[in-house]
Amino acid sequence: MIDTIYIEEDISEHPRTLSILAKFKTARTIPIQRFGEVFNLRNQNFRIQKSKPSLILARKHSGHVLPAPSGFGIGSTANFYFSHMYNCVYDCRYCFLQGMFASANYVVFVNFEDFDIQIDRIVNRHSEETVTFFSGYDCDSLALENITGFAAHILPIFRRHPKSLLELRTKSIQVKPLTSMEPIPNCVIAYSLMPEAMSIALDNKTPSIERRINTISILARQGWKIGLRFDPLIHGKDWQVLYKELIEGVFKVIPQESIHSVSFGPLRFPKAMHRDIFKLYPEEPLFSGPLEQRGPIVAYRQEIENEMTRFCRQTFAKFIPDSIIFQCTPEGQSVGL
Amino acid sequence: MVGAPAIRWVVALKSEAKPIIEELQMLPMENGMDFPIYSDRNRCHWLIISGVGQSRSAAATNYLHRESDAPPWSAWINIGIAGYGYDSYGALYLVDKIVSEETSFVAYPGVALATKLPRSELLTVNKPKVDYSEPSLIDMEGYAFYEAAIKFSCRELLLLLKVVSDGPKSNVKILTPKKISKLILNNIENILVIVRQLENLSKLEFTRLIPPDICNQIKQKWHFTVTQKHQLTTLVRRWTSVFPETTLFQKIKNQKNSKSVISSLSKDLDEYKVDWGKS
Repeated sequence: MIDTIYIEEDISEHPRTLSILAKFKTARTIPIQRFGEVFNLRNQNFRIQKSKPSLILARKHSGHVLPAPSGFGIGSTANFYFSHMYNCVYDCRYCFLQGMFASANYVVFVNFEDFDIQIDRIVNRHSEETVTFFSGYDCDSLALENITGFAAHILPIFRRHPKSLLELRTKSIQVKPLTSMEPIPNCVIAYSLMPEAMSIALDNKTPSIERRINTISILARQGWKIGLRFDPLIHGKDWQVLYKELIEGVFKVIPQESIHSVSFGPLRFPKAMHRDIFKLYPEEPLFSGPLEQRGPIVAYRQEIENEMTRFCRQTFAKFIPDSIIFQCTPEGQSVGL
Repeated sequence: MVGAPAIRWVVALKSEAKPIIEELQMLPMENGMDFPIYSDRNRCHWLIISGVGQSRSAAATNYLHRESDAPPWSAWINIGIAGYGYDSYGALYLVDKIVSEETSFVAYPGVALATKLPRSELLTVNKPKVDYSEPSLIDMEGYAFYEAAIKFSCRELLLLLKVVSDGPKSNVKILTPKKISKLILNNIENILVIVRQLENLSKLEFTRLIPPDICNQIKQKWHFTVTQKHQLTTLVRRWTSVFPETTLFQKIKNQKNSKSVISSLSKDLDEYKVDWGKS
């Protein structure tokens, strides 16, 4: 439960700020000038903060929409991402957000309309090609939806950009804004999945895989396009059996025509990020697996990575065409298979 | 070797410190300096009496850090009396924002402790102030304490607690050492509850920062270069997170040198498959 909310004075009277504050009537509010005063400071303890994060309400001044990192993509040539929020309510042990920010507090940018303007500009600039926008890179797209209302705000924008594609990446089962509107054909609701046993150990505070699959099934029945994201692939005892069961189980309940794309990618960390996350959680079994440093990244040994990607690719191919299978590669571009 | 938990108290007045010293059964340490220092028998809690004012508080914090050999997992506490315009005489407050009146600089101590204590901003001033119109607690040390202590720890392990001693209806001039001690003593239970939480966080930090003891035993048996020591620490932490620590020495005892120790542990981890169903 959030009991402390830092608020930039600049947006303290913003309607969205007031609406969020109304949901935390007993929280202590602390005025700040800029969110960096509490978010980007040195000498913060991410692990302790994560046990009881605060909320920071702020205005995003620039960089509302940014080019997606290489290796990120589901078929478009132009890929962008945006984040209305920094940090995640979940606590997944492989997540790069653990090494990305000094703070575990949640920053919510309340000036959603500035995101709309940037999206419109980018779509107009790329009028000759399909642009894919990813939401859920610096946060989970839906996990705090009942507080922020961002998905409910941003989804309708894409009705007027039918040539563009929006991916909402999530592990959340809070899908009320989706179930209460007509599906948008150019919006993909992308769910991160891994075998249940791995998820129980690594996906802290998230809905179970079973509940996620149930939710995917509901959304698919309603007509939403679904993305399935097996990223990162996690190694361990009986990994083939676990992934085979998961993949077969998912395709048993999600009709092929609902699936927009499947992407998968090996576990990988930039070297410095791996060092930082290991320092935070040195007792974590994930880091005791067969990892090695390969150039600027830390990943499973190459032969393990190859075996896992080959196995998953072959298993996916039993259910869906190659054209909608995408491999996220650590060093290079997405590979449409 | 200093252990866990590690708690460091910086208190301006002897009368503020007295109830804490008694409660934690601290004894004076011989140091021959201006700042009296106390410690409990286990050397977990150390307390320094800084005197009034920002420069003395900062100097005492630095001094205590050095004298107590404060480790990085130390939690730092500043407790004392404060003025307050809302005149809730005797109430204990947790400070979550500090403003220096002199520079207008602002600091934000962490708020990760689970407590129902009321919270407030703190204004740190250089001269006694009886204008209580600001919506803040008023003291003469808090900001300087924070600035000094944050160099040795993190926001989440810094705690500022203030007991309201004066305000529009409570004249600061009638405060006596006895009354001040009573103000702290009346809140001692709440103070200790929150300090126990800090102790637990300090212990967690100790576990996170300090490699298992067995690392030292291994380093004593074989000679490791500096680079190898780093490698060994990482390997031991990874190894002990999936295998029982008690079996580690048995596993490597026949290795000839540091290189083969590292190689043996690396091989185990390279071949290890995490059993996610059991982890």
